[in-house]
Amino acid sequence: MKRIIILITLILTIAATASASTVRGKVVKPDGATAYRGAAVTLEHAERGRSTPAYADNDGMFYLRNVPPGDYTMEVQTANDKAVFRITVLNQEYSDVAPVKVK
Amino acid sequence: MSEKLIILSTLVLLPLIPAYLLFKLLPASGEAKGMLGGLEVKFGGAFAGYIALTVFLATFFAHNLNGPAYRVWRINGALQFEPGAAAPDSDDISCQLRAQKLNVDINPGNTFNFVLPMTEDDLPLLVFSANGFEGQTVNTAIEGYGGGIYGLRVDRKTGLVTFEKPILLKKKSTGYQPTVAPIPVTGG
Repeated sequence: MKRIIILITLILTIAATASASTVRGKVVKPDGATAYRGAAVTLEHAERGRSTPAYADNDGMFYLRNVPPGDYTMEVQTANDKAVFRITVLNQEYSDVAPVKVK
Repeated sequence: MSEKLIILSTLVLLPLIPAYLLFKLLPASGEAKGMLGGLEVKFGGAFAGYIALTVFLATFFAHNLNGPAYRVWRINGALQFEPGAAAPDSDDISCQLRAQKLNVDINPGNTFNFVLPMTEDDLPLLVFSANGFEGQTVNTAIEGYGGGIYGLRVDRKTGLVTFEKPILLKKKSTGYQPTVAPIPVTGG
């Protein structure tokens, strides 16, 4: 019995790990080429609520970890602009979001 | 003109309500005595009630108007770089505290240890970044943030935030291939 419980726990743990993705994307300035450093990116899910923000690095890249697949609202905020998008997070290691332009 | 009259009337009439209630409710034979500011005082009747109420309210509001309690929190932890990847130069590693807008030095050996005066409500977001590695944000305000991968412990009694496990920064892969199209809702 104990072995079965351990096995089920193990399977559920693996399943839970496998079904979380890293949302990876890039924030750029309106010219489409210059990286926007420091932009805050958050995801919001209707049931799971709002994530802790990730911040775009020197290359404008951001990484939001352990995101379960589903539909999300993605908010990109800079000192001068706020842009809101709808995205679908996929059931794979990385869900690569196309670059978003902000002012 | 009429506005001034209303304010003046309110200022004169409003204090009469508690004064009347105290006068009606407290027995005239009542007495209160004790030490107040180093002086021995003795009041009787409704006035004693008025003094007691004033002292109570003044103490209550003085206590509550002081604002949230600041204390010095200590935050300890370590960074680990993905095995097999060349560790970045120490100058290329940063830890930024969001909300507080502070940068924290990473020690040799990739550990961090700093103190921060703040309230419990202000526990920071730690934003780690290093050249060539994927950045990572850790929210110290959320108990067990990251589902236990950081071993984040927040001891509110001693003001200690400890990462029992190193924060693993993954090497940036070159495989960024956008497949998810962000659909603008507003703005961008």
